[in-house]
Amino acid sequence: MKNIYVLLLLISSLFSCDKVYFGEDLGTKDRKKNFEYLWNECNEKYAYFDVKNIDWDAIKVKYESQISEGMSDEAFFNVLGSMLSELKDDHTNLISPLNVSRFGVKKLGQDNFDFRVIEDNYLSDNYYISGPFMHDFIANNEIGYIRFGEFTGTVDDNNLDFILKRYKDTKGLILDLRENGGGAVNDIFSILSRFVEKKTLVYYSRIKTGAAHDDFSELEEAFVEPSDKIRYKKKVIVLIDRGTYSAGSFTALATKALPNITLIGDTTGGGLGMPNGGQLPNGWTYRFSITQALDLSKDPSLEKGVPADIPVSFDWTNMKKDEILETAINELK
Amino acid sequence: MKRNIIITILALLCVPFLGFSQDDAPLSKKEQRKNRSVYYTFSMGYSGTKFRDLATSPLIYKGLGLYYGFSYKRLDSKRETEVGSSFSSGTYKTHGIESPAVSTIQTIDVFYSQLYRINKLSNDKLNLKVGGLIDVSQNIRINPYFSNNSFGLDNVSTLFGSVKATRDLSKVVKNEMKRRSVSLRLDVSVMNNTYRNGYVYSGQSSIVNEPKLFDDYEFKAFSGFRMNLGIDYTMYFKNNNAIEVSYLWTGYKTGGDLDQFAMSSQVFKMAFLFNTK
Repeated sequence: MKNIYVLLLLISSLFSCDKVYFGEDLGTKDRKKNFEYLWNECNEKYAYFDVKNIDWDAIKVKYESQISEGMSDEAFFNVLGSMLSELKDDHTNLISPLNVSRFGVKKLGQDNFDFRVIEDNYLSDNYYISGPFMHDFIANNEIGYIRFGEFTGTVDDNNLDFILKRYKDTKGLILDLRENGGGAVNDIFSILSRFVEKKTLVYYSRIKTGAAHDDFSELEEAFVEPSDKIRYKKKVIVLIDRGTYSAGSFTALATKALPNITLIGDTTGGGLGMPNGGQLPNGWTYRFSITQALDLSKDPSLEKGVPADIPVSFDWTNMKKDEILETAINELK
Repeated sequence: MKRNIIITILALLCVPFLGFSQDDAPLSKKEQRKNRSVYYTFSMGYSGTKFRDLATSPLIYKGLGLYYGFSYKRLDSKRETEVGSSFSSGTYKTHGIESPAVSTIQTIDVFYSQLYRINKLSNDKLNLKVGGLIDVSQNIRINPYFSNNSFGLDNVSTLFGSVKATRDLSKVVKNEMKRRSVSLRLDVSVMNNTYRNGYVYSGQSSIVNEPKLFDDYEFKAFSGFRMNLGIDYTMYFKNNNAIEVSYLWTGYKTGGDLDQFAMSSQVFKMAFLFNTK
């Protein structure tokens, strides 16, 4: 019987061992602690303070004064969300059961895309849908138009083989990435591998490695390698605008290194940092960018937007014409 | 304090060689090895687990999981060798905080253990063995609320110093010998190594078109601390098969500050020991 008591004592003492392993329970709804936690996580891990010339200390002072313990969850969320929006980055969100904060980078430029205008005036009624691509012949069947609205991660060789075979006799291809908010990065390389003939360095990337704003890893090179499937060797135009974001911007950045691809439209929205994710002590979650992409001159400033080679805007007074698409057609003819 | 623990454990590890050398067994080593009982053990149970990964969240996640184990065990009163693997899986969430996040973790352990009797401290009723244990644990964590950090892998490999005390509780009931024993085992880490995420948790291999599984991972030797404590009650049948009911407490924490990972589990399990020799 004495042995059983010893065993029970031993087991119960192990419950207190947990305390040694985990220390203090950091979960709390305390406003100040949650504010401090989020500000500090960004301070130590966000990648673009220097590029965007953001004084994060000044932002702390500005928003900390708006925090009080008695404020509602909604008011508290709005303060934290507004603080994150100071990063001017759509890879930055605060996610709670109440709301999701966002910046809305595409509103920094005019709206340059309406698919209905293209459907009504350029495509046939039976345009093709191959996986994530919508496509058809345009301009008297001389050009192939491919709409790619989202990097779904489902781009596969069968879709691309079919499309590139269909348009092999055209004068050129138009890949429309306007209002493409991004998605799976692997799609970038699957698509671009069909437009290169040799392994090509397209950009660099580096990742945060320490708390200082300029603590980064060495630059890593990103290459596009030619696919061993069907490749398209003629000229390609990529259409972009402020809504072309994240993987869309990466694609635009990569095309700067590919001489047979031209960008037409408006500057992209940026989003060249990879967003990571985490959780606050009150359970809300957040994300922000922890990497930088740099062009071949090792400049990280294209986070502010990858500029078009030929800038063109959509004219909303004429809904029978897409000026950006028209410019692309003229370039290819 | 930590150094003292390490010195103590190293000293304990030296004891088996002392104990073993003192044994004047009439049988040769080869004969002893041949006579050793061999068991295949299959175990199942529940694990109450909690963990916290400061790289992604300051919150402690808790929950109940299932535990399965398999091992090959050779033992007699003088020596005990066990090699095996266990798998546990569960869904965990935070408590006391309004949080939609739920995390699943699968943990795979592969282990090898060797124990030797200390003759001076053992007798007919109490068998004290010491030795070591190598355990490699792999966690696979999924928390879809963590964006690009939603998938995480943590590898913790540990060399333990081990002590196991077995008390023979056998007795004659209705002219029949009922063989029973209770064991208490303690494993304390001597060397704890981790292979896990770097500073910002995510890696950038997908961005540079070279996707890899352990992206931006870092190996750290002598990082953190780990401990196991297990209590087994074993009932043997006439055919030498056995059933074992066990309670196991296991816990570890990695080094680091911003990205420290801590996990503990309390496992209640039942094992079937199939004797093959």
